[in-house]
Amino acid sequence: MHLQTQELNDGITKINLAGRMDNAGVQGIDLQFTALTATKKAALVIDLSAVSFLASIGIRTLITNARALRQRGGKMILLNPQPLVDEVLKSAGVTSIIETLYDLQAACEALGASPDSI
Amino acid sequence: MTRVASLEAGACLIVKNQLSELRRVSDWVGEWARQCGLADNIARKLDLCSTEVVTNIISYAYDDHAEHMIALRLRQQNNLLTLEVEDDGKPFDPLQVRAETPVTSLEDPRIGGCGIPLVRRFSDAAAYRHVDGRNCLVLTFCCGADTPP
Repeated sequence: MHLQTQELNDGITKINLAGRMDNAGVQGIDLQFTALTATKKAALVIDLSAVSFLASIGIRTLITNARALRQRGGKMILLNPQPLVDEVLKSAGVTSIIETLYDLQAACEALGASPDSI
Repeated sequence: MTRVASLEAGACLIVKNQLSELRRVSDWVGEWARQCGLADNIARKLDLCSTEVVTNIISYAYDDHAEHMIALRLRQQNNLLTLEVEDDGKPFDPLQVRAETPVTSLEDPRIGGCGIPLVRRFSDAAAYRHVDGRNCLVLTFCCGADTPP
């Protein structure tokens, strides 16, 4: 799987994930993802629109990194999961602990961006 | 053998108890789903459930460090699809696992343990038996035209 970062306004970083978030996929992005989430206070939008598959190992990765980010005063929003990925997130209770939104502007506002800057 | 007879006879895959084998499982399931002309949402549920079941076996079924074989079989008969997974690990009935209270906060130390609930959620029926020292889990998926997405 692939990870690409994109700097938005108001200090928000968008992380675009793509591919299968299974055991092999998570191994491929784990270090990079952790470096982005666990080392500093950050405002992150995790774009899941290109994630075609999410297994429990991927859920673990999302929760672990969201928690590490929270502990450093940062925040993570999940954006635009595909239908089955969305259903997996909801079934596992992830959407109740990591805010999940379907619109980039709403995600940026939830991270504190002013509407004019988006 | 006709295509229908071939689907009813099913397809088999044997994998080792190594996490690196999981992509073989997914590739095999995906190829079989394509051959059967399964709807994408059914194929994805099958992919998810087979991944979670095999991950669980590899992660928890064995106390030794020896090589073990896990057998998977897929069959389609009319509008029912079955996935059978067999292993020689510790006796374990995943259907007896009690659903935990969902995590409600990022501070909740419980992470993981969602594999089996996902399998229960995304399959339409499940049955377990332990025969001749082997665990056998059978998952059923409805794949009729009126299957909800």
